[in-house]
Amino acid sequence: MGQLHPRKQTPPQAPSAVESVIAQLAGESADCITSTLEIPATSGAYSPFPAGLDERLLAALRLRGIDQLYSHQAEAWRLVHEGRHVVVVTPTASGKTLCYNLPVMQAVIRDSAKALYLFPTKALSQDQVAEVLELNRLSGLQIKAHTFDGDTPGDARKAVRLHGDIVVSNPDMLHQGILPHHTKWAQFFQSLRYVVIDELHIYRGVFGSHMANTVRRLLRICRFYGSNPQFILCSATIANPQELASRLIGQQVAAISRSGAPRGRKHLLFWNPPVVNADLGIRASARSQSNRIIKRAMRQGLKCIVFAQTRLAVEVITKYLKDYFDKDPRKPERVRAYRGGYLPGERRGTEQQLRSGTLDCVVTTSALELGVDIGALDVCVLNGYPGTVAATWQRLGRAGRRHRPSLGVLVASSQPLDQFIVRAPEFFCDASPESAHIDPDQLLILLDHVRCAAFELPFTRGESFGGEHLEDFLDYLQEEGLLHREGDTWHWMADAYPANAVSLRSVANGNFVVIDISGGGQTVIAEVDYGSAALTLYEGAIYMIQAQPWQVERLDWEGRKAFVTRTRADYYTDAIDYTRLKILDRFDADSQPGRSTVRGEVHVVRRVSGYKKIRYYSHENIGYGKVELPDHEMHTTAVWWQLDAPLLDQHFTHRWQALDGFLGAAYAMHHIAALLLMSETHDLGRAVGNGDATWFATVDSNGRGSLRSFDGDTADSTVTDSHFVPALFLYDNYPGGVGLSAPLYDFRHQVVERARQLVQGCACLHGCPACVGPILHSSRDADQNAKQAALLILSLLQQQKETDYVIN
Amino acid sequence: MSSIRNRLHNLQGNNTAATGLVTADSAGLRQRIQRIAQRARLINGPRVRNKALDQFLGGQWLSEYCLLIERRLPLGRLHGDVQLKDIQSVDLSLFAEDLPPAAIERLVFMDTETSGLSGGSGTLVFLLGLGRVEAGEFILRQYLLTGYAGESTLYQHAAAWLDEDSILVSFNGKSFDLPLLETRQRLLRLVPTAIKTHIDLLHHTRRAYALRWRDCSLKSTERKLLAFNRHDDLPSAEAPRVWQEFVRFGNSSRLSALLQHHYWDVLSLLALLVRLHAVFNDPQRHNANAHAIARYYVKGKRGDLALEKLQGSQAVLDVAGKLELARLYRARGQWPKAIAIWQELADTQGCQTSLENLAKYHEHVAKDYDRAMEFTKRMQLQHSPSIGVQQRMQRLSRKNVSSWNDLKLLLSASA
Repeated sequence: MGQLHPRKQTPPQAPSAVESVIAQLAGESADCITSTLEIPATSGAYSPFPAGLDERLLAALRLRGIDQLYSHQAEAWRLVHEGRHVVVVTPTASGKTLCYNLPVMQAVIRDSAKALYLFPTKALSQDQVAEVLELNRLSGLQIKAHTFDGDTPGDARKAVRLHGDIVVSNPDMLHQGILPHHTKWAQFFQSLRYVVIDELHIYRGVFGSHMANTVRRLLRICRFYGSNPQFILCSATIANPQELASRLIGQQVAAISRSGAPRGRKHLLFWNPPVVNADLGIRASARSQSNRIIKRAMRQGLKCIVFAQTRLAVEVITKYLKDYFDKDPRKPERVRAYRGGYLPGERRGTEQQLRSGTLDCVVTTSALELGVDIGALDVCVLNGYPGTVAATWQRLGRAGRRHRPSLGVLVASSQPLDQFIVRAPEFFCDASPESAHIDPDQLLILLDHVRCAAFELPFTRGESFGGEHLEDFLDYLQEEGLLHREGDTWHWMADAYPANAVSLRSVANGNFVVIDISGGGQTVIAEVDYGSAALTLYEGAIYMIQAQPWQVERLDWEGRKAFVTRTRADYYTDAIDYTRLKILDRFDADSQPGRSTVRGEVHVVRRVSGYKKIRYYSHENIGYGKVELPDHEMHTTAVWWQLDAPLLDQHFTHRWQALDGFLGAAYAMHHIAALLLMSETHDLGRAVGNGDATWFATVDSNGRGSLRSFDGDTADSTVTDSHFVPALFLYDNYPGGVGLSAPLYDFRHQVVERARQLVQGCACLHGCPACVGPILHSSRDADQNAKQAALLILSLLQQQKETDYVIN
Repeated sequence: MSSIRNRLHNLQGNNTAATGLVTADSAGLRQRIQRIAQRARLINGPRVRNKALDQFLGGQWLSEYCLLIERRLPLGRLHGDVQLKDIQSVDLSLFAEDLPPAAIERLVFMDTETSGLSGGSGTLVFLLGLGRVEAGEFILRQYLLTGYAGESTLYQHAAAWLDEDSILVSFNGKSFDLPLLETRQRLLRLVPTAIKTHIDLLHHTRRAYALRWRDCSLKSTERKLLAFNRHDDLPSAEAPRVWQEFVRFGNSSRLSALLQHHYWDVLSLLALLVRLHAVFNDPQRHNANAHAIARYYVKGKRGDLALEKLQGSQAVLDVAGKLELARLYRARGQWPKAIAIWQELADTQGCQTSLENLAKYHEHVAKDYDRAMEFTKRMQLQHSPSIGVQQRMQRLSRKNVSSWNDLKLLLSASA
């Protein structure tokens, strides 16, 4: 990693456009740039073609202008031929596809072996087939590479099954379309030599845990057909690629982490928007700063990418940039948005425009963090800290290829993590990227896959599947009437196709389609996943695509459809949601007089109750609407901190003051917990309330913390003293939990201590979005404001026996 | 066990209790009680000991878990209003190419009952029916599994009737039954049945009646085509449950009904083949879609058969059917017949394709450019001229100078 420069040091003068943009920015906004980092260019490390590489492949490579391999490609070849499972960890555009294409294509032409490529999305699959076909064309080889996914036409499927040498698919298709029909793939599985899993780092949390079980099923099927495939995996930089790969495939994996590809110089700026109201600690929005930087860069003719944290932010930024650059409808577009939810054709179009260089700027979410080929870009602006070190580097990697200098700018938002990082960039630069965690033995996920596996092949006594005692699951499923035991074998018996009931990406099922009904027709214009539907598709919502607003007229929740019409609204909408928890079980407790910290199981109910209308540019709140949608429920694990009423009454005159403190403390602790757990903030949920779900805390219209019943009524009058035991919950935001609460409990002291440091160290006077959260309109009342309330709560939570007290 | 069960219940089952929704929880409880009650009823219901099943159902054990029930029917009887003996005179070449007309003894009628309809390797065939015609009798075999362990025996024994020479006859067997048999055989590591010729009667029924009937299920087909109505039939959807109840709880009370239902399924295949033979022979008489049947023959490169079917139904053909017939005449050089059809369609319907074909005929075959131009103009009058029409007109004008003026007039009018 490069050298961190103090703020005032100007970067070395260079003639490149990137460097002149940096000079301009440094000249006009020196105060915003808190520090700069320069990562020097590296020259490549090369290796000759390995001995034994087939002449035809060699010739094809030469025709593509490749006369030698990068060192990591040669290393991959060597390890694969030693029979090891391999994970290749290299940056974007370092030629990782040859790491697997060479051994695979060699095995296909020499031994008629078969290979399965798995990519997390369909788009990536298509890129891959194109790549193999190109090598085919150049070499005159007849390797048959085909995608097999939901888009493969029925009559082509049989041909792919019987004759495909390389079958390119995705985990969902493997899970629902291939494994349950494995007998149709008998020849393929018999000769299956390699399984390639690209974008390994995507497989974490719930998706990764499902994927590990899908691999278990794949290997079980392969054993049935007498094959034992070798895995080649590729990953972006994370802390534990080798561990993740090993957990995912359940076997030892060798790692290649040194890239031999050359890289241009990379400049990184840490950018904190200027303070516009010192009293309230309010800074200019990150959006406005990102716009400024992009405008500078585009005027220099540089190709740019902006990563925003939410789909909404993508649309808003796109609108602002389009208002500036795409005013004239007769000229080709210079700015486009790209995010999940757009239809495939629209996305392919944008990718194509990026590759061919006809587009100057793309605004996106994590959707483009994946390895979709979009060609070379010069400038990458992160509108807000992506939440993890790994995601930050991966997004920054989108700018800067081979031999050109590039620029990355991290624009801090008012979120605590952003402020923390931008003020102490050395933390970011020294931090190792995060680890990706999966829990393949998460009970519900494992149960889902035992069910699917039992459908695929009967289980016999002595067989194992995952880390839990298999027979317990089989007996359970037999009791449910799904399996039938006969002697030592458990057979599938039910009239059901279990894979269809299991979604790898979530627990809840069913995407929503967005249907445009303006002008009487019915056109599907977007798809929205179940989890986001309640937050984006409520009736009255403004739903945006390429910065064009549509208004949701009607939401058919059961039918998973939202009907929208075009509108000209000058505002966008933002959902208001509440969370209620009920404690079901306590696993661990650390109790002190008046206070305790507990880990246990909770039932979480989330409700979207309404939305705010927010005007463009001024960002003023111009109205509210009510929303009536089914509650989103889940069962998960949580850690909660609670204080008894007498202790609170000693320190606070009013209950709303205590609640203010809880809400502020929760905000700070939530962010610190995400940092300590090396996860993203949305992996955790937070709530303030009491454990019997009779009330929860929210902010009322005067900006004060107040008690509410879940139906939204003010609840102060109904809460008796015995019910006033406020607790601050941080919960694992996935059904069943994915193993975050146990480490969080271990960190219970650090979370409170670090949160207290964060709030205390914040430069604001009364509390601000960078410490206790933007939800509290802090009053100017000097002795009892939100910030002090939060600090008081945090120190009350902290008063423990000295021996228990650990400062990290 | 108990720990896993408790943990799973904590994650799933308690959901309703946890929300405090008393109604939801008691509904769950009620369901559970109903299940237990039902189970008790099943266990206490009429039971026949496994061992005695052969006598109860009239079969013989092939192995511990595989029962074979064989029945022989004289061909002299009726099924619905179909004479079974008419199978002897069925010309199989109507349903499959490259088949000698008389291969009746090679026919194997096949139908299955399965644990589910979704397909995939977890779907079990628990009842396989095969039927053959032999020496004036219809021999119908039903292989019933009484446990999964009987599967190997089932397939090994059935293989005697399922070899390369067999001509399989099924109803939707191409996409459902046969793939399932193959799947189960692979799971048992047996060599899958090698079937070369397969007559799927669902496809043929659809050809003839898809546009006429609301559905082409076997039930509807039996009623409408065979005049066969089942009495006290077990509904198809119940079959998996009957078998499950038997295997899980020993309840054999509905096995006879299951076998009877399945027996009808197989027998109907024979009767349906006989009746479809008559339908394909003379579509018009049976109110069948002659055009669809002809298209099937055209696709199989058997134009003569197609021509024969269309000729026989010419009076009731729709426009597309008549055009198909004209196309077949033209391919055989029978121009007058083709022209008569086109002429009729052009005059009565203003049929574009007919006008175009007439223009082509007069331009290229009869070399009568004036008439060719006349038909081309009629096409043009009805629609804004396509590029093809304009090109034809220009070409014709070059061939026949007298048409120049017409052309100029027309082009100026359309501009």
